[in-house]
Amino acid sequence: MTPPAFPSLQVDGLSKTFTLHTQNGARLPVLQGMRFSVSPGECLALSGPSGIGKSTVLRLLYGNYGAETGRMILRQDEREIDLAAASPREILRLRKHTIGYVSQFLRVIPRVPTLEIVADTLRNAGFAGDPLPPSKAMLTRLRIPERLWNLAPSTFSGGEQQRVNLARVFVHPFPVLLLDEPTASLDAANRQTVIELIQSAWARGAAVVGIFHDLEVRDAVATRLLDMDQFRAAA
Amino acid sequence: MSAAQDNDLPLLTVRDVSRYYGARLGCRDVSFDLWPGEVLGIVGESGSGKSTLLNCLSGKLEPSGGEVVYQTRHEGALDVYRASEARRRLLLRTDWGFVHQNPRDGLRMAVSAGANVGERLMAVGDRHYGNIRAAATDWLGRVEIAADRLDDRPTAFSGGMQQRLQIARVLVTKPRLVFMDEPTGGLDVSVQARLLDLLRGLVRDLGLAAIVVTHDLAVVRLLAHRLLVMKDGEVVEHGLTDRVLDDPQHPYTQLLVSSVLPA
Amino acid sequence: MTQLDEGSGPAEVGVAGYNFAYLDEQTKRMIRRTILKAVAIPGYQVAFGSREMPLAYGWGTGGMQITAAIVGADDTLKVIDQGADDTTNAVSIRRFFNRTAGVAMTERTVDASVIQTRHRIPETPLRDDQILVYQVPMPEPLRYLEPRETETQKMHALSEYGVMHVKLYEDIARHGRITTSYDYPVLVNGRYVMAPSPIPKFDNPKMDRMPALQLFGAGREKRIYAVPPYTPVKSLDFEDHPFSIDRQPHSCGLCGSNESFLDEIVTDDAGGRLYVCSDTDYCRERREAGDVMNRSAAE
Repeated sequence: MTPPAFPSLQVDGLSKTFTLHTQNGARLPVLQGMRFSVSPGECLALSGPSGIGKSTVLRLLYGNYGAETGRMILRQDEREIDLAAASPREILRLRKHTIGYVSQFLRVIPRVPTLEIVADTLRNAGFAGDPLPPSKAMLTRLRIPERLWNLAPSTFSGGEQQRVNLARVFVHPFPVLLLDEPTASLDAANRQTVIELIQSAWARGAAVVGIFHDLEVRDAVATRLLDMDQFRAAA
Repeated sequence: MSAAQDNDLPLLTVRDVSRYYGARLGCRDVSFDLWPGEVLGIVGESGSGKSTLLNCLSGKLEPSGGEVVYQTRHEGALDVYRASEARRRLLLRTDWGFVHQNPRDGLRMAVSAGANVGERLMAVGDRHYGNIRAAATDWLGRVEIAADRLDDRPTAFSGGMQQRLQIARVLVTKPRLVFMDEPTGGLDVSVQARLLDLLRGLVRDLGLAAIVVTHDLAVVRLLAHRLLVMKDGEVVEHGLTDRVLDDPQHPYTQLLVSSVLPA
Repeated sequence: MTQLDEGSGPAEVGVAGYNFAYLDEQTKRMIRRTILKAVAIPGYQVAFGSREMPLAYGWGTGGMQITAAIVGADDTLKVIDQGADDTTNAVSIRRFFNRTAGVAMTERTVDASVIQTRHRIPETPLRDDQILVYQVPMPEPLRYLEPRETETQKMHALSEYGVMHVKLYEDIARHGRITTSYDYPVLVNGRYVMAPSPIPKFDNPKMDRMPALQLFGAGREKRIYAVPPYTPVKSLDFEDHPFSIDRQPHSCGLCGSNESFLDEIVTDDAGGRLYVCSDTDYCRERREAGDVMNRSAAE
């Protein structure tokens, strides 16, 4: 992919405040006036102490949280979409094809086998051909033993669940990747695999935004750091 | 691709639907669009008007105001309540399906499982016993009921099996839009999970659009793409399911979400 | 035998204080209007103000009211019950009309202008100058699967008849074939599904394009319906399980007919059986015509 003249992701004036109506309307400002951009082939690492709103940024970008103010422009195929104003239908479509999100916790449906969870990503993305071989390859790469493939991951260990979570995102070449501590609870070998996966993602042109507490990982994958402290909202 | 999608017509267009029972409000000014393959959840507590709304949407209860327009396969848009009753009832037993909370309301308890599934085929004119039976067998398999239960009556089935049978009975005519009223209500938790998984698979594989009324947030989290939150007959919040549940804006939605006991 | 012994004709007409054929003229007019509507909409159940008759519901009060409304002084009436002229129900209804109307009575199908029947259609083909009046216990063919009257009316109105096949499906699923053997549902004139009253399905083909007018009366359920002369009447079925009638592998032990509907009569304690025509008039006519078979043909 050739680097286009426009950034893949451009965030401007993004603010988020939580209003807790159940607690006498307490207001919890998290972000204020945040701005950044990520180009294709970049991996932007959000940095700052915990509680500063790093995960909130990823959730805003994924549409999981609603933005209070600001714009989040995604440029794709010469088309601009403001994620802050996109319809639910548009967000769902982007999640299928464009934006991959590795959350801290695997949230899946009971009873669905691991292999199907991974293959579903490809099916949703309209993968031409049999989605099982690439799904198996990704599970193998992330060292999920074959005997677990036909089991639902709800009984897996934390590390195994996290690797299933990674497999189901990395199996499809999402142009935008949002990674929330992708290597937490992984051993050294798997951490190295994830580093390679992330590196090859931005190398192929993906725009990556991530939170990496593990400095070794961060140094290996991030092309740029963004200090979140400057956008800390006044409480 | 996305441009083509945006030009798609919604399967169901709901505009300002209100229903009063005399002076008492059932639901008021509900509007939304539902696209093919989309699952919409309607949540709210008892008395919030969600069942009234579902009945208005599904052609069973004429709204006091507003309109419900359905995009038919071949005949363009159909204003559900301006169409003749014959047309509306035909829609209900062909292109639409309704899954009741209590399987007894949706099944014929006095006839076999096979006849229950076959009835909608016979209702649209299928008159070949062998074909009807083959379709019924196929559908029992798809809802995970053993083929040797084909000639048993639903009275001999467990609650979960009855509910799955009801789903097979509805889906056999390949509807495009299914209405579900608390589809997992009254089932054990383990049975609920199985049913939800089954429903999710069917909805995706068949490209069904569905409107699911429930008070169970776990159900909509798994099934619904979008959510309507109702309180006192009105929609107080509307949006992407995970956003409504994870970043609720309206005080009532926050209360609803925070009231869920952790598993 | 053809002459009846319950009365001796019009001379004794009129039990004191009663109108001709029991019902008052206003009621008869109401019933005739109902009949006209029923004839105009073949197979459609028309509600009417069913009257109390001096007979319990279930004993043919619907048929009697129709007969009372249509019978005239010059009519010849035949009453059968299960095909026989001499069973209790037939005898008492005949006596009733003999006393209240004094019309001519006959047991001969060919001589009758009005035939009131319970559970059979005569074997002898009927003519277009005859009227067949059925006694109907349950006029609603959809009742088996739909208990709500409001709903069955709507289903009739909208021709939503898929549910009728559910019952036939159940028969085949349970027994390998359609075992409904009486009150077998029919589609009249391609429009209304109708209960033909509990006649054996053996008789169903006789209803199709019958020259005689067929009237159905349900006293308790307060419904009248009709099949006009020469109206198509189709028995419901499946393409791969077409409607068929079961021929009994016997012939009548009295007249030798192998075409008629037979009753089975146990003749002794050793399992001896005799099969005889259920239509007593048909059987007698055949025997009188000299077409008598050897009685020992009975097994």
